[in-house]
Amino acid sequence: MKDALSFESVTKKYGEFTALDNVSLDIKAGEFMTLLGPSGSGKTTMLMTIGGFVEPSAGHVTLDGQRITHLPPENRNFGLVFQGYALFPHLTVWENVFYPLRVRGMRKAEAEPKVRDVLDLIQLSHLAERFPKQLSGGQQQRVALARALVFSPELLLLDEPLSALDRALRKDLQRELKDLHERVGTTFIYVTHDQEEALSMSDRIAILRDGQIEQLGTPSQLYEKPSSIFVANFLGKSNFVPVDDLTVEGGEVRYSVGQDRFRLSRGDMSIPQSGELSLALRPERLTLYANHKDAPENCIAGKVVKVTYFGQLYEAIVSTQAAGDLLVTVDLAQNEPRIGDQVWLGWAIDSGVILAGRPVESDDAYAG
Amino acid sequence: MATDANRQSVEMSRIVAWMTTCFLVLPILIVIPVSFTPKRYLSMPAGDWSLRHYEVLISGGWLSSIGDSLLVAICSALLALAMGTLFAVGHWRLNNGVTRNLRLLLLLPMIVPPIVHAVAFYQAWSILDLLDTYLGLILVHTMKALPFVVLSVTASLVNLDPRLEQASRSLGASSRQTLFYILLPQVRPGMLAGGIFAFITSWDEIIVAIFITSRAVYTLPKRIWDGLFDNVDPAIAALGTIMIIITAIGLLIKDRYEKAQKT
Repeated sequence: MKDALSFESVTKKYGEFTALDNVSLDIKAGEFMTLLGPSGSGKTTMLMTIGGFVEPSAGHVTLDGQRITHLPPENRNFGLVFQGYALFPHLTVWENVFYPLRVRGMRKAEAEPKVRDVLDLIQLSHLAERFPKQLSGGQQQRVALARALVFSPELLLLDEPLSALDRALRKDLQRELKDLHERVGTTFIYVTHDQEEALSMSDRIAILRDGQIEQLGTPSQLYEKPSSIFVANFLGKSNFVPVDDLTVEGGEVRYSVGQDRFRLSRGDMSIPQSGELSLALRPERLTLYANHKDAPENCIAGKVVKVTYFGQLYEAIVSTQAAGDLLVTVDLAQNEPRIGDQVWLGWAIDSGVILAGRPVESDDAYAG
Repeated sequence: MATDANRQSVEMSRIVAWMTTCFLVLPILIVIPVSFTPKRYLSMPAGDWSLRHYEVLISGGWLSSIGDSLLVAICSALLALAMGTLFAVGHWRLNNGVTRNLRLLLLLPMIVPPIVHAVAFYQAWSILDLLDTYLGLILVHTMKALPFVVLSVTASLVNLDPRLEQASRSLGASSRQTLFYILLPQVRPGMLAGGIFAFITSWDEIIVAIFITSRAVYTLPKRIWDGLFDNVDPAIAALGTIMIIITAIGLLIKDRYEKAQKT
């Protein structure tokens, strides 16, 4: 696939503050790309740079190889869906959707079929004569989408479009957005701080931190093989176990946790070898065993200290001597863990990732 | 007991409200009987009534003065509205040091004492040869009306979501299209209020008018002033009565309109 939009070493400074720090990124045509990060990480600045509302201090933005860095927003032909929708309050739904065609010199009669089509697409034709404030949040969101799609933009930019909606509605609209992306085939660039949203919708995710791209990849790459403690913490939950005495022999890595030695098949991972190291283990990669003989080679003894029931699964906290408290998910097919149980925690030799550094206690990454 | 006390305090505030209303309105209403006096000077009619002073209004110079005042007020209100609105929108969009200082400068006509203003304009207009011309008076009234437009349009821009402008431009609208299709419809209430204020500012402005006009431009406030000086003309009371009636009709229409909008 060809690249639709590229960032070439883009930097944006506001006085002393660096919002974007030498960012390069290629977005493919037709892709659903998500910019994910905590607030202040630069994701919205990035989107507004694409939209033409923020001019980079250095570097270039290109579209199909053409530099558009200094092109004003109205000449870019990009659809933009704002957080809070920004519908025109004095215009009806129909007039809001007609607006981009109107400013392109199209007459009402000419535009009618196009507006109809896109209103049908979002299933709001019956509300065409309403004003925005007479609509629910979800309906307003759909109108904003229709308005940004009606002129067949080359890109659709979405700035936390679902953040103002309640959880159930958000789930529905996530599915609708994904559907819409498949049907219209336009490149979507989506900004969010919600990791669940990012994982379930995106083709690729760029995780931003302090104005830089921390890691870029498909949702499963980022989730399974995070490149840093920040990413592992930001996407989903993870245990971090301090490891020592790391050795790499061919395709195999050996590491110590406390007195015990463990094995990890390396795959195509790059393993940091110096400084403090941690093993990141997802709670669902850990399994509880009642006896040592059932447990796999990588296992560690502990005691269940807390159990929380979530309907489709349990979450248990197991206290271990060598690795501290570890979070484990237990699905309902297994025996219900009980507080005080002496257990063995096991994980496969291809589970876990070795990362540089140790987690900082009050890391705010859980907030997402 | 509590409801009794409550009722009493409601009763009290009603009395106070009516007294305040009387205090404000009664002195104005005095012109109505005075306008019907048959005498040639301002006086209460003593049993005998006459419409002669209303006749004078139709003849004489009064009509031409009303025309002058309307012309100057409408022109200066429109000019102030156009410039003030554009300035307010520009200030809202840029909001930098330059526009903030310009805004202070624009509000000066409200701060400078009118008499000082008048002397200054007399000097300046005599150099520019604008004394006793429509253009000269319209320009002054435009300057005096500008602050009202800027303030009221700025007030209606405060609540405007800046993303509406970004949305409009991302949808392909030029700055001009965004101004006419999106921003101006949003600030219409502020423009209406500012326009009315601008009109009234010019309609009853007298100090500068006395300084910079004499015979070619003869506005209503100036003719009233001269009339009072010359012979305490009761035609002024007749004119006052007509203006009160017009104002009352205007308020009634506004009231009806607002009620109709609510239902």
